[in-house]
Amino acid sequence: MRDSRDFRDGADPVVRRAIDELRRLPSVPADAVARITTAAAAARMLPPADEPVFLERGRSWGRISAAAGLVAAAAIAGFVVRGAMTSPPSTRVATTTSLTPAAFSADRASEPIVEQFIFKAANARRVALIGDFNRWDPSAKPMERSAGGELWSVSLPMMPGRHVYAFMVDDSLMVLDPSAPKARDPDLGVEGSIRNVGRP
Amino acid sequence: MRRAGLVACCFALHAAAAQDSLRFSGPDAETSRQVSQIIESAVAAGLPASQIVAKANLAVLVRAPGPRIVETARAVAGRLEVARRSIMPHELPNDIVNAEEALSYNVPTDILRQISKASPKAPIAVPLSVLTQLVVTRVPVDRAGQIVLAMLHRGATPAQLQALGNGVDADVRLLGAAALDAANLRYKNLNPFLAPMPASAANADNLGLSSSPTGPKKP
Repeated sequence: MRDSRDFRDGADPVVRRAIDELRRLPSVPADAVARITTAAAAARMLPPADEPVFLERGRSWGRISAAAGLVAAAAIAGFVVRGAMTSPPSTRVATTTSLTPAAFSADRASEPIVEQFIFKAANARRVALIGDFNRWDPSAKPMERSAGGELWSVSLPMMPGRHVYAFMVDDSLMVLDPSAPKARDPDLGVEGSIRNVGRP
Repeated sequence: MRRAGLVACCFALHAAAAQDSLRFSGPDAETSRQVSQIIESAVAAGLPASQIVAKANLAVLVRAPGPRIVETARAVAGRLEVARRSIMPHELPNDIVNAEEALSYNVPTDILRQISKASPKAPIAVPLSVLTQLVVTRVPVDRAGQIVLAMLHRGATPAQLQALGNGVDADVRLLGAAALDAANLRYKNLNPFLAPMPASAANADNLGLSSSPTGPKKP
């Protein structure tokens, strides 16, 4: 296992790269950076007792983990410092605070969102959800019949944006969702149901 | 060592699954060959080729003839390329796919560029999908672009954008309203809840936002 001094000395190429990155940022107190990186390295090397698997890791894996911890700490420190240095002074004009784009994160905006689809078909033997999200593959997303027998449903994570879909009934009949808007495909001229997915 | 082998195995399986998901099987060998070539070129160009596979599969499902399937796949691939250029620096596959859909409904690239510029840091799949939705609902494309752009400039959330798109769609589909009237009315009613239009944004775009009768108020 490596000593934390090795990391401070910059012997590891990953650590050297992290240090180089930090050097490009506006100057910060060196002792603050050293404190953060040392603490991160120590935290990575002293796993909690409830993680025995960590203790059994081989030498190289331990080194990679420790280096990854350091890089993460350095990156966090860098972002914190950069944010502190570049954010405008506290004279920001408040507009409609809860409605500004800052109210949602860019990361969350590109995460899949679970959507439910429900279709009524009492006499169907099999129903599948098909659409651009599963490349119109009827075997990809079979729907489940409800206890009552006439409703079919399925939930799946979908990327934000516009999706075209339909239901495939008994492997042969493509049926649009009566509860959804529909649109004609500009290339093929066929209609599809439309689901616009977005985070509420 | 065993762990490394396991990781390599996982990567190999993942890559194989990705390959499988991009496999296309057409109604005949020639169609399959041509579409597969288009897909491979798109993959090589770093485009989200699953959009091509999806459209080609839909074409097979509705029993389009082979040449039509190839033509459709080629059209999607071409639009993906244009879409990617238009929304740079946005490069999320989902953003590119939604830009491609907008292009398929004849949204001009200029509007895509402006949407990309208006939302430089956040993903733009939702604004693009709402734009497409408005256009499909028969809101004139320029006006649809103006509304989406103005909402972005004024800090509208994806949820607000989506509510507008869904609202206009419902007005047209369920109430029989004229699409343009519905879009203008719903946008106007959002005015009190949006930030003022930044002067720079009003000057930057040349879509006539400030001259629109129902456009946003200037600060």
